[in-house]
Amino acid sequence: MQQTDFISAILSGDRVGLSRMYVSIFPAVRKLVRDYGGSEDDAKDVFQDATIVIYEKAQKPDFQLTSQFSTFFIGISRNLWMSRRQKKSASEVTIPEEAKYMADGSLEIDLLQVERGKLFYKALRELGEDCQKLLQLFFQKFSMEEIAEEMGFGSEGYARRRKSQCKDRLVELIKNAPEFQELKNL
Amino acid sequence: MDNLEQNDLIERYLDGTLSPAELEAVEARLATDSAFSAELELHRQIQVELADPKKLQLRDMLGDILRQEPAPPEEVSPNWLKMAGIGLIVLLGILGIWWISVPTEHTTPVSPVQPSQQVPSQQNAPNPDSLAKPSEKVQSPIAMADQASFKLNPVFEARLGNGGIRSTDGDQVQMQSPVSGTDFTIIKGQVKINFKGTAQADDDPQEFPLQLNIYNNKSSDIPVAQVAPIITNRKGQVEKWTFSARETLRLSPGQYYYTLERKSDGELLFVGKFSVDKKVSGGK
Repeated sequence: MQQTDFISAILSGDRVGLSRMYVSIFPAVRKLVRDYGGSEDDAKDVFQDATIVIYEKAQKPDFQLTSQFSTFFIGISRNLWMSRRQKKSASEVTIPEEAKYMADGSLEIDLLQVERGKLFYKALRELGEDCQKLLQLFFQKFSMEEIAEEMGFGSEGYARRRKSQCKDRLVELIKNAPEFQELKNL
Repeated sequence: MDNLEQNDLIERYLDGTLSPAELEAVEARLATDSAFSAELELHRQIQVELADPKKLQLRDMLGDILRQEPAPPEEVSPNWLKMAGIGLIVLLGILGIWWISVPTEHTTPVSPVQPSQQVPSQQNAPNPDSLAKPSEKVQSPIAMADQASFKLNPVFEARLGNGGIRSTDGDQVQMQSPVSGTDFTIIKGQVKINFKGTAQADDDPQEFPLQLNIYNNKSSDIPVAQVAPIITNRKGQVEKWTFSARETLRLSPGQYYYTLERKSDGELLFVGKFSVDKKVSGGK
C-alpha cells in the first residue's frame, strides 16, 4: 500500500489499510514519544489522536498533502506530544525548536479540540448501547419520529424523553471525568 | 428548571426551534449567567464532536487495532542504518584492499587477450602443491619446505641447457629479469617477481602477443600461473619488443620454471628458472 493510500484508509475507515498504517508508522511515533520521555501507551494515544487530527484535516476541501504521508503524520504526532508534555508539566517546558513544525500550518493542532473529542467519545462509549445509538441518531439530526421508528419506541414523546435522559447522562459522565477539569486549563 | 428542562431548552436553542419569546429569554440569560453560557457551549461542542458516525467508527477501529494487534517492531534508527552503512563500506574497503594486496597470478592486464588464446583450464590453475592459500601464514618456510619441492625437473633442465637459462633461438629473447637461478623470498605469503626482457618483434597485431607460463617442479605441462606481459614499446616499427610483467605470486617454497611463448603459434621462445625460499629452507 502506498503511503498516500493511508489517507483514503483513514477517510473510509478501511481496517486493513489502518492496520498497515499502524505497522508502517507507529514505530516512528513510538520512537519520537520515547525520545521525549513518553511511554508505549503515550505513543499509542498520540498515534490514535494524530489519525483523528488527519481525518479532520483531510475532510477540509483545501486539504493537500504536500509532503510524504509519514512525514506529515510524524509532524502532527510531534506537535501533539510536545503540546501534551507542555500541558502536563507543572513547570514551564520549552519545546525544542527542532521539535516544532509550526512553520507549516498544515501541521498545527488544536490540543483542546483533540482532548475534548477524546473525552466526549469515551463518555459516549460508557453509555448503554441503546443510549449510544439513540444519541448518535439525534446528533445526526434525525427527527424524533425517525428515531422512535429506528429504535422501536412506541411514541415520539417517549423517544424525546429517552433522548433527554441519555443526553443528561452523557453530560454528567463528561463533567465527572478528571479530564474535564484539565480541559479548563488548556 | 431541572436538568432535563434546561437541556431541552439548550437543544432547541442550538436547533433554532425556540419561539421568539424563548429565544429572547435564553439570550438574556446567556449575557448574565456564565454557568448557563458554559453549559450551552458544552452541548454545542458535544453535538459537533459526536455528529460524525465515521469519526466514531474510526476511533473504534483504531482502539481495536491498538489493543489487539501486536506492536510493530522497533524502528531501525536512521543513525543506526547510517552507521551500518559506513561499517559496510569500511568492511568492503578492507576487503578490497586485501583483494588487491593478495597476490594474483596476473597483475598484467589480461582482458584484451582473446579467450581462445588463453588456456582457461590452466589459467590461474591453483596447484595445491605449489600455491600457498591466502589464509596460510608463511611464517616458517623451513617448516613448510618440502625437499621434494626443490628437486630439479629433468624436462625443464634439458631445455635449459648449461647456465640454467637459455633462449631457444639465439638472440630472439633476452631476459633481463629474473636473473637465472634467483632465489626469491616469501614476504607475507607473497613472492614478487619482475619478468622483464626483450623479444624479437613480429607483425602479430595482438596487444598481448606473448605469454609467460610458470611451472612448479612437478609438471612441465600444467603451469601454476599464466601471465600476459605488456609490450611497452609497441608503437611504431621496432625490431625488438620490450616486455615486462611485474607479478605478485602466492608460491610455496620450491623450484620453479617459466617459459615465454609466442601465442600466435605456441612457439617456445625462452625457458628460465627460479626458486622460492631455497636458502631459507635449505632445500636441496
